Amino acid sequence: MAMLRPAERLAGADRTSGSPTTLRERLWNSRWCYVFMLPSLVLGALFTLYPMISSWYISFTDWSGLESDKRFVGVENYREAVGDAAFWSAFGRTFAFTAVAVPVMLILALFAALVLNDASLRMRAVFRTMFFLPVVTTTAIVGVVMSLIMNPFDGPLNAVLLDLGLIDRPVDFLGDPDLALWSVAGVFVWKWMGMSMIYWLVALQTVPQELYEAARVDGCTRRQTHRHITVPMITPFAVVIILITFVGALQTFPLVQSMTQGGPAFATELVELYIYRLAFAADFTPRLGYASAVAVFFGITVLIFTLAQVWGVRRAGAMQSDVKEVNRR
Amino acid sequence: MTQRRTLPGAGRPTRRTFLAASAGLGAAALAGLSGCGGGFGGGDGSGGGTDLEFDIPDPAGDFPSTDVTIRLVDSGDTKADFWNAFAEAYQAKHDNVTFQYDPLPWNRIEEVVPLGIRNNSAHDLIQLPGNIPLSQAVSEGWVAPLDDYMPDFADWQQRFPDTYQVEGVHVFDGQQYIVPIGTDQRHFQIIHYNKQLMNDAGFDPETEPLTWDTYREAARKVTEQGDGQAYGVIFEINQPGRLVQWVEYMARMAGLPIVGNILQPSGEFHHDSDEIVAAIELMLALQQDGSVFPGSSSLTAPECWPRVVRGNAAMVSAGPWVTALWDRDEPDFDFGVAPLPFPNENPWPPGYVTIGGDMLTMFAGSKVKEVAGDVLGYVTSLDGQTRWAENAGVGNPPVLAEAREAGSTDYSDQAKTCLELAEAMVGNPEPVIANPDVALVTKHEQPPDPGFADVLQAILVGEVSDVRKALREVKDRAERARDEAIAKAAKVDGSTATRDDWIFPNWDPTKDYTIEDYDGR
Amino acid sequence: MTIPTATEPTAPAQTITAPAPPRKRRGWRREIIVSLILLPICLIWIYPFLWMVGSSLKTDTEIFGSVSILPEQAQWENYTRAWYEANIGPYFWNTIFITVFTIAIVVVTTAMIGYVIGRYPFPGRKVLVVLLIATLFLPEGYTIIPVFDLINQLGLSGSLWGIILAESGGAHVIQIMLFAGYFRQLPNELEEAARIDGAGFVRTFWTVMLPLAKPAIATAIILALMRVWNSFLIPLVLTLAQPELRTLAVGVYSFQGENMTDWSGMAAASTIALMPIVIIFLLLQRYFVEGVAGAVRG
Repeated sequence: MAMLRPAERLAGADRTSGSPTTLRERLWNSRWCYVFMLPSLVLGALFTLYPMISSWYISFTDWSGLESDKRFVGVENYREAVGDAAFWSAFGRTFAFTAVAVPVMLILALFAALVLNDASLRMRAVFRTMFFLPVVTTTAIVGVVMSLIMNPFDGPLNAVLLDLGLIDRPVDFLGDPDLALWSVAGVFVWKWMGMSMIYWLVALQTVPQELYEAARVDGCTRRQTHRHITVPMITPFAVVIILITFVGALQTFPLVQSMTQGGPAFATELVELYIYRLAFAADFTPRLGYASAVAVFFGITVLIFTLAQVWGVRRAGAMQSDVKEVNRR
Repeated sequence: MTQRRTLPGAGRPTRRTFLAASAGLGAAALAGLSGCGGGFGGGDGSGGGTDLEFDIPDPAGDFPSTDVTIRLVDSGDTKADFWNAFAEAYQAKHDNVTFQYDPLPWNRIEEVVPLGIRNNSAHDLIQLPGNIPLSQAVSEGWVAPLDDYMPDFADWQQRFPDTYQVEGVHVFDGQQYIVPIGTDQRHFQIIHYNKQLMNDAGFDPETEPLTWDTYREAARKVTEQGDGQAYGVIFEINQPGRLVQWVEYMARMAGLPIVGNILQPSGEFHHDSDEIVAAIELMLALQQDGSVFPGSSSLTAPECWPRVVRGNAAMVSAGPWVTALWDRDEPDFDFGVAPLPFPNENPWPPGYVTIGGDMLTMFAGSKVKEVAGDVLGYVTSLDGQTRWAENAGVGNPPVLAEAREAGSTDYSDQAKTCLELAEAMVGNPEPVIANPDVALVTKHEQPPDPGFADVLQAILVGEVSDVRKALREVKDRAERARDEAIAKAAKVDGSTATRDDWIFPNWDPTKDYTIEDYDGR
Repeated sequence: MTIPTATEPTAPAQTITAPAPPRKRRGWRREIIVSLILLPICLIWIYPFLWMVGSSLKTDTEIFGSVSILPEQAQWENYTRAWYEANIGPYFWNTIFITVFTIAIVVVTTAMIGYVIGRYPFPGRKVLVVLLIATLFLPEGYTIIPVFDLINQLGLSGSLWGIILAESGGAHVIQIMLFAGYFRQLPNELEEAARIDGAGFVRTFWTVMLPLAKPAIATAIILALMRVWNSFLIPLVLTLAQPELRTLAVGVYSFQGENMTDWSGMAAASTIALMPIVIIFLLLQRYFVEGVAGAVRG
């Protein structure tokens, strides 16, 4: 059977031409590709697309999740979401949380990755594993352990800070409404830094060693090496990593829920926690339809934010290469 | 599951596919209900009180003879001790039956039961969570009537108290759908205290009950003597629903005529009443004195209790299950139990909800209904109830008063005190008994958000400067929500409920409100 | 995820670009210094774990308020209680079963689609890639009930296979892109050689290409592992009627009751749950971090 030869591949055979015969031919030639795609696409369609679209439908209903009929209410839920003060408070908190936690985490992770990228460090596997440990732990136990560690009465964190003289009275990290959000951000950074570190490591690994060798031969300092070789090489990855991390952080849920349940006094109620409260509150009939709508609405704002970020980066990149052009002349 | 909804490569599904445990969240939805000590008939089985053997009667009717499994889900904790013991005995009696017991916290039950119902794989016997009102379960056909499955049902109806056979609450269209096993006649805010700390400070609540003033004084003393290692009180500020109950108990003792959260006879919500404010101010005073365990702001109730055991805090207000827990797990810990501090010489007794505590319904899709009925029949018999009292302990007193007495002979002193405190409570009138359409209103009601619990928490963490104003706002929102719900229920479901259904002019706060009283309204 | 294009000739696939040989003379001193600095940092980093492991050997009340990590007296019975009474033992094996098969399905299917995306410009490829990336950013409402209904309709609820399917379903875009990038930069000569040997499309993939993709496979394994090992709600909900099929995460959460929590049991169960992942990570990370030189290199 004929399969696309590599030569065909390189010759730009993917340019669509107008004539249907050629298209059909190409489809036939690529039939194995479609076969190979099938399992993944089927699973994806079933478990990603279908639930997603289903959930969009739910967001247009007034449904508690329990009863058998869903009352269609159109955009009523969305209108309510726009005017929902609790939602916007959660929204603001979530963005504040993300804006602080993500840069801190990524920078720490990058630093760790740079250090642990060194092939001559024999213990690096052990170190990497230790940094990665928080990532794979069940969140429930993290919540419990952290609230014990942070408690102002006899938690080790306060004890150490007091001993070091950094504070003179114990600090209620999770119970003080002014601090709680930042304490939770701190735990977030602790938990996920290992994952970001892995991403940075992967990115760093793509920089060929020969470049580093050449730089060393040329007598570059460490800093010059990083600035002129590492940074440009990993920039495309950086964009993706930053984007994915931001989007992920905006959707934080299990960690915060198990530590503070959104308290005290809603100080740590991020959007996802608010949605959970809507969907599963015990005291009254849950509002799954509305919760869905809030979730979709939030997702749309995140999407807009992401696109804005990408656009912004593109603009910055364009400007930068303009500058480079100018400098080169 | 969409992977992208997690952090990059994270192993955690999002909230929608992953629900984190929340320590004790939503606990208070124990739709506590229980009859007042109404009449009870002579039960079947022997009245063997202290005998720890389960005397399970032979099944009636179409009991299956093939191998079957019966599954039960409830909120666990001390009830688990009963069900585990019962399972052994039941399986010994019927060797073709496997009894599978699943204790889950409420937030899990709320997720799992609705999904099980959808899937037709729900447990056979279910303790309904707060987000599924029974009326809805009945109208949607999720639960089955028990009349045909409980053995000697007519007999059961006679001997079981009438307060558990109320149309619109337990009975729909003349058929019984839910059976209470435990009563809600229990005192949810018993002061559990560390005897050593309190005695060292010179206080003995068992001989000399605390008043609001001496309570504050004792807390201060303990803190002073504790010198940073021990504090007077500990509050579960991150579980403010319980603190609301504390406030309501205290206000009621001080003479505020409330039934639930409704003032009598005006029918208004209670939030900004003087007694409520006074109780809250007492809490604030304790905070200002520095007597409150630091870090209380982030603690839930189960996180508070070990502190008392360790001697880091002297007093905590908790339900009788803590007594049961400490009796079982902390035999060396010397603790005392006492009622909440008295505001004056003649405090009113606290009220309890009369329609039943731990209750079970039967899933309509159950394939072992006869077994389920048989189990329910036994558990509500005198023998079963007595075993319940013995095993589940004082945290979940059985419905039948005789069983309470018989089963408590081996209780510790503290547990016996808990029972006494419960006996001293009075049964509240229940709007839903007066007019079953009240359930329709509740279905449509959207409580204010933030509600009383949230506002109380905000007050206690220092986020609120004008307490009365904040309470008034909650009250206004609650009034509005109720009016809207009444209107909506009338429109959508044809409900006949009005604000008057929450008013009981013939109510005496110092006495039980009996079934007859409803007729005399 | 955009794959940067190559700027220099790709190395032959058989040799993973070796790291520069350690500079033996100056190197080891630096290595020791760096290690000495890193070690305390790492120990502080994993302090909460040490706390958790310590708690797993304490009594419940000891956990609240003892200052040191070490228990006064090691309560090994917490582990036996967790393993036998709380059923962590059976749950452990269930989880292993589910995880192994889920990973197998995920890795194979994403490798397959990544392969064709990376190497074959079939009609519609660009559209597909855009679609895949778009799914990362599409807003999503409440999806648990639709998924649950789906599994029911497929008749798979109540079995481990239902869980496996539910867990492996979904578009694993990151893994797909990873494979795509990796396969793209394998040399073309490989296909020629395979064809000469008479191998068809499938065989080429299976016997020639896939074995070369070890780093990408290792990455995909770890990403999938992390997700499915700790997965909680789907396994719980799908095995309501068969509690013997439950998983570790469900088991760990079950220690937390409504009014009472078995803190020490929970810590023990969590420690048990953690061990396999740690070991696998230690073993595999060598592959996917270091060797992935070509995985996403353009």
